Amino acid sequence: MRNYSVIFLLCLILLCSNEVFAGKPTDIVKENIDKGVAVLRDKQYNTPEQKKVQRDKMWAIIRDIFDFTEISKRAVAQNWQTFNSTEQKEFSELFAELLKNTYLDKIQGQFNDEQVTYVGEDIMTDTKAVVRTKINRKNGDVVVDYSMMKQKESWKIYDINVEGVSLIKNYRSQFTKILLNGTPKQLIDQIKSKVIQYDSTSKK
Amino acid sequence: MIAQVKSSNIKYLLLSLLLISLFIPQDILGEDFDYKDEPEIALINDPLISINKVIFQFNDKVYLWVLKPVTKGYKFIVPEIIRVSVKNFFHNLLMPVRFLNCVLQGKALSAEAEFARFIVNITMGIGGFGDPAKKYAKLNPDSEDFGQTLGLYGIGNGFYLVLPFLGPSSLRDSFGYAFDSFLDPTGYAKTLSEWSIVYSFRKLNDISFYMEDYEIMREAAISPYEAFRDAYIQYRNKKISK
Repeated sequence: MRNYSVIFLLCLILLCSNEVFAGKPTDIVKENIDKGVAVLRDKQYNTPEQKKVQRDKMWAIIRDIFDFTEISKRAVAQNWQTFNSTEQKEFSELFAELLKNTYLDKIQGQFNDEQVTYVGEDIMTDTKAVVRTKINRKNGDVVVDYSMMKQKESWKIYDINVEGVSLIKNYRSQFTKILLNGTPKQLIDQIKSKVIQYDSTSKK
Repeated sequence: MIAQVKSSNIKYLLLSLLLISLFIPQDILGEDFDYKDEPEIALINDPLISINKVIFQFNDKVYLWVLKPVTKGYKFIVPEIIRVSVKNFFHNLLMPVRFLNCVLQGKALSAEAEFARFIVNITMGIGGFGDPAKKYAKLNPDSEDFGQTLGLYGIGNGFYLVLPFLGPSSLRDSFGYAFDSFLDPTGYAKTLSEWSIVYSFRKLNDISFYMEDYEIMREAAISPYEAFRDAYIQYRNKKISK
C-alpha cells in the first residue's frame, strides 16, 4: 500500500512539473528547425509539382511552433482593443498568410544548406525565454533570436529578432501609423489586398 | 430614504465599475498579454519625410532597373567563391576604420582582435582574399564605425535621412560615414574615375549577397518606407548597445 502511494506521489510530481513535458525552449526550436531543414533537403520535392507539397509540409511545422495570434496582438499592441473579435480573428489569419507568402517561398527558393548554431538561451521568467542562434551563411553569420512564451503545454515563438531588428516591432511601427488615422478594417483590407495580389501572381 | 437608496446604488455602481475595470482589460487582451513589457518602438524624427520618400522611391527604382539586372548578371558570371574572396579582401582593407573606432570606444580587446585578424588574413589569407580568421570567434569582434562611436558618446540620430544610392541613414550616421571614408584606403585613388570604378565594384560585390534580403523586406512590408526606417533605427541602436 505504501509503495503505491509513493508511485502515486511520483506521478503527481511528474505531472505537475511542466518542464518534463514542455521541453526546453532551445530543444523545441532546434527540433523544429531540424524538421524544416530535413524537408528542405529532401530530394523528392525537387520537381515543380512537389514544391507545393513541400511548402505545405513546411507550413505545418511553422504553424506548430509560431503563435500567430500572439504575434498579431503584439504587432498591433494597444490598438488590439479597438478590433472586435471577428476583426481580431481575420487579422491574425491574414497576417499569418502574409508572413507565409513572403518568407516561405524565399526559404524554399534560397535554402543553401546553411547551418544553425545555437548560441544560448536566456530564461527571462517562468513563461518567457529567448533562444539565441546564428545562421552560418557563406558571407557571414546572421544573428537570429527567437522570443518564446510558454503556453499550456509547450513553448511557442512570438517574435523573431534578426540582427537586432524585431519583427513585431517593425510591423508595429507600420500598423500604428495606419491605425492612427484609419480603422482596423482599413488595415485588414490593406493586408488582404497584399495577400490577394500574391495569390494572383503566384498562380500565373 | 430616497437619498439613502441612491447613495447605496452609487456605491454599488462604483464597486462594480471598479471590478469591471479590474477584470475587463485582461479579458479583452487575454491572459499574459504584456506588450507593455516590450521596449518602446525606436523612434526617430523625420522632418524631411517628403524628400526622404522621394529618394526612397528613387533608390527603389535604381535597384529594380539597374542594380538588380546588373547584379544578377554579375552573380551569374562570377562564382560565389570568388565573390566571397573579393568581399574578404575589401573587408580586410577597411580594418583601419574599425580599428580606430574600437579605440575611440575604448574597446581594447576588439581593437586588438581587429589588428590580429588583419595580420592573420593578410598572411595566411594571402593578401586578405581568404578569411582563415573566421574560425576563431575571438578574432571576429562586432564591426564598429564612427556613427556608432558618436552614438556611444551620447549623440542621438538627429533625424532620419535617406541618401541617394546609399539608402537609410541618419544625420549622425551620415556624418560618421563621411568621417570613416577618410580611413578607407580606396578613397585615396589617384583619379575620380579610378575611385568610382573601385567603389562601384565593391558595392556590386556586396550587393550580390544581400540582393534577396532587400526584396524580402520590401515584399513583407505593408508600408515599406516606415518598415525600412524602423528597421534601420532598430539595427543601429542594437549595434551601438553592443
